[in-house]
Amino acid sequence: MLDEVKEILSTTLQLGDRVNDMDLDSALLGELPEFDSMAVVAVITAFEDNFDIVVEDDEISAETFETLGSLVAFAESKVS
Amino acid sequence: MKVVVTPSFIKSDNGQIFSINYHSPELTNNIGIIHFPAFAEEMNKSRHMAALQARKFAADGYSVTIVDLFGTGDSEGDFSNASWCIWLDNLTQIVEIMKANGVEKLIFWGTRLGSMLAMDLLNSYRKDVSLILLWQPVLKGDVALTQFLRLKIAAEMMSGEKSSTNGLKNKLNQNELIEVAGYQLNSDIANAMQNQHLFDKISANTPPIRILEIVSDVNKSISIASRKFIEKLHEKKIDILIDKVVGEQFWTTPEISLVDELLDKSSIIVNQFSKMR
Repeated sequence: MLDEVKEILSTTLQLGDRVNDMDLDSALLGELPEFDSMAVVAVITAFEDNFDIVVEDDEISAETFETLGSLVAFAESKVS
Repeated sequence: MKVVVTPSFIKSDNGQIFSINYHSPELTNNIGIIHFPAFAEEMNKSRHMAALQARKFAADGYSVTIVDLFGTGDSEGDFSNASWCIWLDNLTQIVEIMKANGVEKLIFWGTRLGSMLAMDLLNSYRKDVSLILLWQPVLKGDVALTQFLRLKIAAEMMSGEKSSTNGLKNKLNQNELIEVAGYQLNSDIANAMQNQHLFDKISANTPPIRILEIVSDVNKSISIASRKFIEKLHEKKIDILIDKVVGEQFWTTPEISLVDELLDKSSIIVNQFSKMR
């Protein structure tokens, strides 16, 4: 899941190879300049398309996007 | 092949509508290609690709027109006063001008939500349209609306407030304007999106449709949704095909991106159809 989420971040935010240096503790929201509201929507849309899930409004919270780890945990919880 | 680029303002019932025509004076067939633009910020981000493609089509002999719909781009009007009908009127006016200038056959080229506009305009020009080319079409308007409203929800999440998609849709239904990513969305546009499925607009009388979908890697397939969409239409013996191109989703990326393969494949498709006359 970590690799899949990294790949989604890499393509939707055009981060390229920068994702290779990221780990679960890497901060996203408030840290990565690319992580604005459009990025949040792009990532959610990519999650929905890739993992065939539906993300509800109340699941869109700042905590989910805080770190790569929290984002991966969110994806895992939706897919299982 | 030299391409002549002609910007113009067209007087419409709702104000001046801006459009750009691309054509090559040396080699001109009688086929006109009309671009049906993407929605809101997707339109802005896809302008560069659209312009590149228009030039490429024009160099092959077509007359191509890209229009800024009412309330968008360089056209007059406020986005908050836009409506699906006004947008269809704008596009109708463009088609009529092209026909008055000698175009006999039409190709409808839609990007994203523009695909819905293209299919709606088809009702007036079915006999004239030989091909419908769609770039990553929005298949379900309600999904596109939800994704658009999410921009507001995501922005509010960053500032600590909280809306819900249903809450926003309720406000729209009460004729309130909703500000999303700098765009004032009104209920007409929202309802038009909410109630449209591309599938419902396609019938046995529809001219051939060719879809190009962007995938991030050469090993990736087209999306499950697209595959199901095509399969259902093939069961009805509809002439529709989809192909993938590798690149970035340029209508949504933070930085402007170019997808050369999309330009190439679009030209190949269009030229194949022209030869079949």
